[in-house]
Amino acid sequence: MSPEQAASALIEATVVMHNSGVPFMRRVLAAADPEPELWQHYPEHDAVSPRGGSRYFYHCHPVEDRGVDEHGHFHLFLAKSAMPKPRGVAIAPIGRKARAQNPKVVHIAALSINQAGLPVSLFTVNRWVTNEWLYPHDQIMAALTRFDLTGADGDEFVNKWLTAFVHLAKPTISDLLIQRDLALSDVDWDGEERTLEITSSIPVDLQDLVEAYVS
Amino acid sequence: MSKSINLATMLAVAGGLAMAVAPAAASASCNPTPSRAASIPYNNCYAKPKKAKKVKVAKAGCCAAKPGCCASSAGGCAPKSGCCAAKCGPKG
Repeated sequence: MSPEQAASALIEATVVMHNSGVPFMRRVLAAADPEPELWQHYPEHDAVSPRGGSRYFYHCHPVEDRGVDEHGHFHLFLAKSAMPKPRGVAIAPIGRKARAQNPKVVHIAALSINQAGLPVSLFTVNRWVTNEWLYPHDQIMAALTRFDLTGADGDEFVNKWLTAFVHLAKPTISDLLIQRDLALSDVDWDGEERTLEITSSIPVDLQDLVEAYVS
Repeated sequence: MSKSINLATMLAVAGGLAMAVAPAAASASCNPTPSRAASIPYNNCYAKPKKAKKVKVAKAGCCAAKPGCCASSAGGCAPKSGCCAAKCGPKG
């Protein structure tokens, strides 16, 4: 998906959701009645593409973790199977049980949402936070073209919106992952340093992102 | 598509999003019960503080940078037995 296509797809999904009277975050939290629970994944079992395994979930942390401005965030993943071959250039999840039971995921970035329901920043997390397979920046970027939530559980237009957003925000995601790798190489490339949770963060201005690619 | 579209206006939730509340079955802090932890396959409550046992990898070029500690493998580089895996990581 080119940036121009991503910008158009994101606008289209936004307009459809707005015109229906059920905006983006109301759809994400449709199952959260009357309010979301801390830590609960929305959708409950994540939205996972049947083709390729792209995945997301949204959740909320306690306010003492994230501050009063953030409502929650999306964690966006590629499937390990989507990574370039030969594989093996990765740090595995810790623990045989975790490797056997957890979905084999590669964390792309997290998208922070404010209390009004608007995206405000992208950030990366240390490997232990999601118990992911940790791949370096260049390999994730090479696989990012495969990120596609079409057909995943959850709301169709949310899936379209997030797919478009990831493709639109590729340059920002690239910068984030470079910063993450530098942070990890300074501390612990295994991703097990528990004092380091957020490895990089960049504010997002959605309007600017889109307007760069629409005429 | 027109630049006149205001995305924030269209995305904003009137009245704001409802505040998240602590689940009834678990503490609001990052200290879930085992059953709750099992139901949340991966977040920072799940991961337990264990020392990394094995690292498979590294970035191309790491072998040259750490000739005593990294060996070539099919996927690129890998730490030799007994070596500190972190030394094989990308150096930015």
